Amino acid sequence: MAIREPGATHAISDTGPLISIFQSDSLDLVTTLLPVIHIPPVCLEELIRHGWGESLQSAGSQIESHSLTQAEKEMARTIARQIAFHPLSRDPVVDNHLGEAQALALATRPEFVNDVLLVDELAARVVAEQMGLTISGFAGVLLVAVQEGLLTANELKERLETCRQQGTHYSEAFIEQVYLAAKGDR
Amino acid sequence: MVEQKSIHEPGAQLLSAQDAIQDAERLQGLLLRNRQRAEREVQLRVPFTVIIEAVDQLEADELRLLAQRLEERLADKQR
Repeated sequence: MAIREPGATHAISDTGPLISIFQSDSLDLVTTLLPVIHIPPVCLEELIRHGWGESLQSAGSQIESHSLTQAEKEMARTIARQIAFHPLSRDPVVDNHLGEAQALALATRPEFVNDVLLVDELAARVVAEQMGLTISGFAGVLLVAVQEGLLTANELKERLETCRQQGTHYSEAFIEQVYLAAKGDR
Repeated sequence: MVEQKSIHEPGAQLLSAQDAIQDAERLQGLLLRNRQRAEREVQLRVPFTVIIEAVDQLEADELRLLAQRLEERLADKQR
């Protein structure tokens, strides 16, 4: 397990934001702000299934995968049901939400109480907020990187465009509005 | 061999730009709180002679403030 530097904020991530991180080659940038990204077993499987196995291997200690206890697995199944049947969900198949549900369950561990959960999917975000978790999407992390002087607004836009070109469904309007916010024009 | 990449949950509804802006505000606050939490205070033992020497470097206003503080402390001690 990674040793936590004093004052460091770690991330627990669902599959989607981590794919965006890989697509836009942003792992070093994100881990400058959030030194370790923790993922549950189903997200690890999903990342490998989607073709990001090599990226995971080269990430080394920047990404740490965790196995869940039986109680956490059961909690995740309950959360997956909540997400699947949430009005904002477009997929009522419970098993299809196990990745984000396991990320939420992992984020409830006491050692992650002052950390952030990375999640982009709307229904999972609502359930996470109801559980009192601190959440952010990938774009939110990029905005903070701009605020901290690690990235320009143009570079933020390029990274979101790169994700979009590779299939992540960030709309043009979404990218433009986030870009304007990064420029301070919102 | 290059791995074939596929899309994750292509039908899922994602966050809005306003959500992303709120995320950034929330995350910035969390990072700040965690950094401040790490800055704990430590006690230093300073020799008395160093304090006396430091007085020599004070300006008039600072000396008056110090004198006032010393009078208050003396009054407390004499009670």
